[in-house]
Amino acid sequence: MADSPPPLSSSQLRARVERVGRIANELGFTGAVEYRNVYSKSGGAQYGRGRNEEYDQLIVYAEAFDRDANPEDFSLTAIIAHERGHQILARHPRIAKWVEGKISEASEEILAAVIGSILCKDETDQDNLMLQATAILSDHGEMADVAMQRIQYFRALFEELL
Amino acid sequence: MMGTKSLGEMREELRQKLAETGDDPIVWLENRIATGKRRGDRTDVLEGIKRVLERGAPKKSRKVRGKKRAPIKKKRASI
Repeated sequence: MADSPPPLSSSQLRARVERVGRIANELGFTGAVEYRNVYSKSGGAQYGRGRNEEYDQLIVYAEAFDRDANPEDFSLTAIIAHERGHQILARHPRIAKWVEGKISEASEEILAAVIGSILCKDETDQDNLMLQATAILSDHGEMADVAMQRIQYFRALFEELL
Repeated sequence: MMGTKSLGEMREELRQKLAETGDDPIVWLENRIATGKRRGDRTDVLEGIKRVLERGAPKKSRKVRGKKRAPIKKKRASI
C-alpha cells in the first residue's frame, strides 16, 4: 500500500461521503459521520465516543474503500457495521452496563464483530464478521471449536438484546 | 477498530487451525453442523464459517513446468 491514497475529484469525494453516510445510517449509527481520504492504519474506520450518543463519531478512511474493492477482504458495510458494534457496546443501556470497563480490548473487538454480524443484511457480510470474531478469539488461544461455540452464544445473546 | 488483518489472512489462519484436527476443515465443520442439528442446537456460526471457507477455497499448487516426469513403471499384477 502506498503512503497516501490517490487524490479524489470533488465528485468522487462526494460519492464516498454519501456512501459512508448512507451505510452508517442504515446500520443505525448516531452522531457525526466523516470520510477522510487518508490512510490511518486503523483498518479503515474508527469509532469515537462523544459526551453522549449524538456527539459520537465515525471516521472512515481511504483504506476502507481499498478493502471494499478487494474480494479477499471485508466490505465497506462490514467495516462500518463493526464500528456500529462498538457504538452499541458503549451506548446500549443493558449491554453498556455489562461491558463498560469490564472487558479487554480484544473482547471488545470480538463483541463488536458479533454485533456487526447481526446488523448486516447481506449473508456474506454476516459470515465474514462471524469469522472475524472467531479468528480474534482463536488468536487469543481459544481452541477453534470452543471459539465457535462462544461466538454462537454471544450471537444468540445479542440477538435477544438488540 | 477493524484491525488491519485481511479477511483472506484470517480465513487461511482459521483453515490451518481446523486442519490441525486432522480432518479436512469443511468436513470437520459439516460433522459439527450435523451433530448440532441432531441436538437441536443453533449452527449458524458454523454454517457461516463453512461458507466463508468454501468461498475462498485454497489455491491449488501450480504445476512445475519444464521438468520431465520420470516414466511411470507398470506394476505387475500380483494375484
